[in-house]
Amino acid sequence: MIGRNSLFGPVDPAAETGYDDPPSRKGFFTDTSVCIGCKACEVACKEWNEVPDDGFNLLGMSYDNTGALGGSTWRHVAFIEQRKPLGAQEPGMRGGPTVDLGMPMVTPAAGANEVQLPDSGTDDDKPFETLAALAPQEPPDFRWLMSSDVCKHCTHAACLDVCPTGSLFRTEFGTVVVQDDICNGCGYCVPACPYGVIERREGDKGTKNVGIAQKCTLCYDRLDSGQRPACAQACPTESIQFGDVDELRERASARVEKLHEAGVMDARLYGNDPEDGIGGAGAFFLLLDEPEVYGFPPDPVVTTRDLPQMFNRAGAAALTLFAGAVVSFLGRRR
Amino acid sequence: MNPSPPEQNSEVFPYVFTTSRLTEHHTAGGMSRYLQYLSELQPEMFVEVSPELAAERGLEHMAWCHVITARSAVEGKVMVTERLSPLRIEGRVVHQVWLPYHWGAGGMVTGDSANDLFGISLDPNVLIQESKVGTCDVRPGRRPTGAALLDYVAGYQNRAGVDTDRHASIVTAGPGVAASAQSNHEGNGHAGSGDS
Repeated sequence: MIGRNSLFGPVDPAAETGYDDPPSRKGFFTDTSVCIGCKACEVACKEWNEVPDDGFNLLGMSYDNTGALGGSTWRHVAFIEQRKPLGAQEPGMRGGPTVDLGMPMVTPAAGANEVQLPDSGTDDDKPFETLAALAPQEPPDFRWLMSSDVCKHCTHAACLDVCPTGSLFRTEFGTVVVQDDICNGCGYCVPACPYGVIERREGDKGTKNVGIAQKCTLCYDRLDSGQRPACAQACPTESIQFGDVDELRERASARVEKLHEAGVMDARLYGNDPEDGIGGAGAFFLLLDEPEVYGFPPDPVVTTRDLPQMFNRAGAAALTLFAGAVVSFLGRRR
Repeated sequence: MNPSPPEQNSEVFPYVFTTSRLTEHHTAGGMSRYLQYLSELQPEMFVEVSPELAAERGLEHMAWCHVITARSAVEGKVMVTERLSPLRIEGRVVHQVWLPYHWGAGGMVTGDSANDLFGISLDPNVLIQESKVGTCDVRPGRRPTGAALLDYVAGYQNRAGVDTDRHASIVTAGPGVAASAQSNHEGNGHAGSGDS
């Protein structure tokens, strides 16, 4: 059953797959504007899904020592440090080139045990004039972006389209899940994913599912019993929101409007549009900067989009060659 | 412990430092460093410095450095970040250093303990370790080990004038400061007249 939008365009993935009367599509809305970088989602995910550690490496990317999604990392909290003001908020670091603590001035030379209290926060104070030369030219605006990344559960999932074993499948909730007992580790799904989410698990022999392609299951084994996914349940700020994708999209649009009204004009949604290259993500995001800043591809396209066209062209080329061969044989008989 | 302005030799420990927690570890890490899911999130001791201090001391991001006080020296990887800003105190620029205190000898991830840098003293009101702030020096590279470490710290103590039992009472503000500083300069540590 191949429909017009089977490989590209807006579609209900569960119904398209052939489920009769499926439940509403489930997904995540990750509102990064309230993420505090606690990494509870990472730990909860690993605890529930029995995902092994992926190495004890200090990466030096702010407080992010996870790096990227992979076979043993299904949630990844990115930390981005920027010289930008945090929306309309005052980070308390804009008084000047250095931070003036406003402490009492002690001047032993004055001899009279005199304590001077400077006007705090202004650069006009005479004792500080000599500091101008030491100062960096830009004011030290600062903001810390945190964002919990996860499998997008695409409407058109290339990993699923290319899987030769049927290990990857579409659930009745419209999510994409790997069956680790069927996967043979061929790895076709790894380059197929436009986000670089799915990977084969690396590790020592004896590690659970080593060599098998692994990624977020949107906690398929919890949805069955009416539970939220582990990461959403652990999130203390409701940055990770779980629910029906239709409802989440409305909630996300309202949140962006609210942020724009509050003066945070950088706020934008990522992956929520059903008309985008993957037919809309089941897990989408509210970002406070360009997607590239967070490590997201700016305009991802499902890698199997052009399959029909490629097949048709290859077929046309084959037919042309066959026709040429027939003509050449016909020509010899004369 | 270390001499601080306006005491003499305060330039031996020119920076201020403090320690605090990371969300990933519990207290000194005695429990969380044995858990793989927490250890992988914060696997190694590090020292946060501002870009300005990194330039001043030649510290490279993710290379080794060590922090020295009159009590000990601990090492960690350099984390250069704009989250730390130089401070402006009494008309001088003072650089800050920040360390997490979650490492020690046991567990899946180990490292130097930042608490080694502080004196052993309890706050009389709450009977817990005193405020974890102090002055220090930061140098690139790993710290010496064994007897060499003791010699290294003794060198700092000697230059700071805190290598004997003679030590100035520390008065940095309020009445008596000028007199105290004056006598410190003359007697190199026998002031003793102010409150401490």
